[in-house]
Amino acid sequence: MNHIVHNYGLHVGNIRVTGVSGSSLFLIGDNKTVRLHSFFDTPPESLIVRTQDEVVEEANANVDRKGSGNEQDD
Amino acid sequence: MLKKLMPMLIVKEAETNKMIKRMVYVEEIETQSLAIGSVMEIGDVHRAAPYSRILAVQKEGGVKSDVYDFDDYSIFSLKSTPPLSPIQINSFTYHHRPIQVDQVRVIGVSTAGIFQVGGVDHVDATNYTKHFRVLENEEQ
Repeated sequence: MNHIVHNYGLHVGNIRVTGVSGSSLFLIGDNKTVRLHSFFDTPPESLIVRTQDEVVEEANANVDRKGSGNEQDD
Repeated sequence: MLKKLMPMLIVKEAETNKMIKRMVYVEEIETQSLAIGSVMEIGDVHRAAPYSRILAVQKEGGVKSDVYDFDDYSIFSLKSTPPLSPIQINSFTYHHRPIQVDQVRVIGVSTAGIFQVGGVDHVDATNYTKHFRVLENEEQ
């Protein structure tokens, strides 16, 4: 099989994008392979009901064990 | 005369076994926000693999300094599907003209998103996002 592509002129005037989110790609150019994965979970039953005091105790215990308050993503 | 100049741009990429990327001309770019493992790239790249893990917590009474562990939530241990085996096709690409864009406006790029002007061989982006709410009392 012979696969031949001719990329003739491409001229775009104006592009307006509100958001590129959740492992999405906005590309002006050429590429070979793309793999985009997104795991998203926001069900109504993901509701945790507990008292305020319990949560604070858990947080303190975790901080002591790890010795670091940096809980941000890597 | 123009036809005689054109072959300078035309390259058979299958002969070189390397992807020939077109030149991209963008007159004006406006981007307001790049957040959470995102990339805005100007130029050519071989491989881009952004990765992000997010716990989005809505907590009644406000969040002070809670520590959450990703390992406590099963979504973060989910594995993505293995890559498909590559398809072998003899492909010839002829680039006659560059890409031209007058104006680009991107308000936000977030959570392992990519906004690129230029060529990229391989993209492999992964994002895990988990939402939940923490309430003080069930009766409220």
